[in-house]
Amino acid sequence: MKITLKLLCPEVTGGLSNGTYEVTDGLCAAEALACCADLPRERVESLMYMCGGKHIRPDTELHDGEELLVLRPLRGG
Amino acid sequence: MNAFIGKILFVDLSTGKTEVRELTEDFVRAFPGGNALGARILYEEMPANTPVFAPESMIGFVCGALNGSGGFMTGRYMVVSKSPVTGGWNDANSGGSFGPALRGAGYDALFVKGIAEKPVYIFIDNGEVEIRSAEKYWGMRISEFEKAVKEELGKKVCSAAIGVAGEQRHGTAAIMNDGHRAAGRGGSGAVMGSKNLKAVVVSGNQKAAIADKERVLAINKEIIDWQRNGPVKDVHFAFDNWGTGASYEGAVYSGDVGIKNWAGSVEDCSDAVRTAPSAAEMDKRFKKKKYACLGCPVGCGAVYDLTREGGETDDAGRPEYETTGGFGAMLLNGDSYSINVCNNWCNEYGLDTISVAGTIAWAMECYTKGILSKEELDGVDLTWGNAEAITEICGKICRSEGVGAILAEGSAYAAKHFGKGEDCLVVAGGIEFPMHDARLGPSLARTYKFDPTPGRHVKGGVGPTVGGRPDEFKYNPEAFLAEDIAGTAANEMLQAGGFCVFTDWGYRPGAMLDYFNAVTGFNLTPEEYHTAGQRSFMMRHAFNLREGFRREDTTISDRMVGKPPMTAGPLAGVTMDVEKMGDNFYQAIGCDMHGVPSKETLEKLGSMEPVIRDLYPEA
Repeated sequence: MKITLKLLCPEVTGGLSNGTYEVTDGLCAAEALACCADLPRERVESLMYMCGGKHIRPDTELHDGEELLVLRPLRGG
Repeated sequence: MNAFIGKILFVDLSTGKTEVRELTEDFVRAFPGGNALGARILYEEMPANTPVFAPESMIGFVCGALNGSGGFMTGRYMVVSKSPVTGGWNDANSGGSFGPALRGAGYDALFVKGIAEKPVYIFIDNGEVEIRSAEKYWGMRISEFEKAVKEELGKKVCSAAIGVAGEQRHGTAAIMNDGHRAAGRGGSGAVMGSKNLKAVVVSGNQKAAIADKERVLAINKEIIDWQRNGPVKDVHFAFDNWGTGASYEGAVYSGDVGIKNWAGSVEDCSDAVRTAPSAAEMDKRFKKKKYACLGCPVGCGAVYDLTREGGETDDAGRPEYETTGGFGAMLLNGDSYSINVCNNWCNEYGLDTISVAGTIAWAMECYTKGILSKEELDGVDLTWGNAEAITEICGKICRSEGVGAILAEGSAYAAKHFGKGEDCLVVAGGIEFPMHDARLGPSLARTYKFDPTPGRHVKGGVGPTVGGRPDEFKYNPEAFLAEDIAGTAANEMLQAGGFCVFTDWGYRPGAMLDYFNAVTGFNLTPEEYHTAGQRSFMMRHAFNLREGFRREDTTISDRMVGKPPMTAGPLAGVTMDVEKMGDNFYQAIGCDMHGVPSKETLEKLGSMEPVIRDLYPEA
C-alpha cells in the first residue's frame, strides 16, 4: 500500500523526507514509520501520530492512500 | 549546612531597614527553596488579606536549592508574591543566571516589603546591601537598563528588573533577567513596580558547600551521556538546535496550541500560520547564535538578528514556543517577523507574552464579533491574522499607551473595564492560558483550575505530555489520578530545587533526587522527597485558603473544557468534567470538597503548624 508521510518533528527524520512511500499492507503507524526510516522501534512507538485529522495510537493500522502525520511527543515550553 | 548559604535577607523599602535571618537545616529540609521556601515565608510574614500593592505586601526572590551547585539544569530562581491578576498566591520562575548570582551575593532569598518614596534598586554585593536611587533608570527598556547598570557597577553584576509595564503596575508585567529571561506569569512585575523597585542587582563570589561534589560531577557525566546517546537524543537535538519552538508546527496540527482564541483548529490556519512561525523556519531568517542558561548542556535559547529585515535590534531573544503560539496560531498570524517584533517588545518593556497574546486574542474576537469597536481600540483594525494591527496593538500595550494601558492589565480586567466581552474570555482565575489545550491534555484542566496559581502548564502532575497518551488514559480522570498526584509533588520539588522543566526528558530517571541528595546531603528517600513536594503544594494552597479562596472561587472558562465541544479539527467532540477531576484530586491529597485540608493531612505532612493554627484554631 502507499502512504504519505508528513513529518512535523524536525529532529525525527531517520533519513526521511516528506513524501509518498510504498509499505507492506496492514502495517500500523509505528511499523510504517520504522519501515521507511532508520529509527529504532522504541523511538517510533514514543512518537505521536495523526491520520485523517485525528490522533491515532502508534499501533493503529493504516490503509492504502492515507496521510500519516508524525509529531514529536508534547513538551512544555 | 550544604546547598544553602544559610541566610535570607529582608528589606523594608518604607523604612530603609534591612534584616538578615539565619536559615536552619530543619527549615530547608522541610521547605527546600523556590516556591516551597517562599510560600512558607510569605505565609508567616505577610498578613492575611493584604492588598497586593499595600506596603505590607511582600515579594520574594528565592534561590532554588541547587542554584550554583554545578549540577546541570539547576539554575532557576523563583519570584513569590500575591498576584494582582488572580488575587491569590503567585510564583513565577526564570532561568538565566540570576538565581546562582543571588546565592553568590550571599543570600538564599531576598524578601522585600514597603514602598520606596522614589524609584530605587537594591544592590547586594557579597552580603553588603544598599538601597540606591533608580530615578535615572526609571522608564528604561530592559536592555538599556542592563547596559547602564553594568556601566555603573561593573560587568559582573546580574539583575532582575522591571520595564515600563512593571513601573505602571500592569497585570501582565514580568520580571526580566539576562535580557530575554522572564519570571513572567501572574503580574509579579507589577508588585515590584508598586514598591518603586526597579531592580534587584547582585554581585559576589560566595559559594554554598556541596555535600558530595564528586557525585555531582558523576551525575553530570551521566546526564551528558543520557542526552547525547540515550533514548532522548533526538529530543536533545531538537532543543539544542531549535529550542522550544521546535514544537510549534506539530502543535498546530495536534491541537495543543491555542488557535483563534481557543475556538479554532488547524483547518482555520493558512499554510503560513502552520509553518512560518516554527523555529526551524524562523532560524533560517533571524538566528545569530545560540545561548544557554548557566550550567545547561542543552542551550535552548538563541539570539535573533531582526535588523536583517529592518528591525531595531540584532540582540532579540528567539521566541519561545509559548510566544510563537500566542502571537502566531492564537491570532491566526503567519507573519513571523511580527511575532519577533512583539516578542522583543514584551522582553524590552517587561511583559508576559502568554498573557499579552491571550489578551490580544480576546480583543480580536470581540472586535470581529462587533463587541468592541474600532474606536474603542484606538482605530486599530484588529482582524484575525492582521500582522500590522497585531504589532500596533502590542506596541500600545508595551508602551502603556491609550487602549494599550487597559489591555496591559489582561483580558479579564479589560472585559470588566469595557463592560462587555465576557463570553470571549478564555481564562482560569482571571489569567490567560499557556499554549497547551486542555481538550488535548485533559489533566491540564485539573491543573489550570485547581493549582494555587491557575492557568499554568508547568504546575500539576501529568503536564502537556498527557496530550500524546491514549484516549482511554487521558480522558479518564480515574486513570490519570495517580500520575497527577505523583507528578504534582515532583513538579513542586523540581521548582523548589531550581531545576529546569526540561529535566523531564533531559535527566535520566531518578537523576533529580540523586542530584538533590548529592548537593544537600539530606539523603531523602523517594517517599520523603514526595512528601516534601506535597508539603510545598499545600503551603501554596494554604496561602490562598487564608486569603479566603475556596474551590468555587476559581473558575475556568467553559471553552477550555469543551463546553460546548468543538465541531471541527482534531479536538472535535471533546468535552470534560473538570469538577470530577477536582473531586478526585482533593480527595487524594486529603482535602474536603471545598479544598480545605484536614488537620490529619496537615499533621502528616509535617512543618505545617502555622496552617493548622489558622484552619483549626481550637486545636
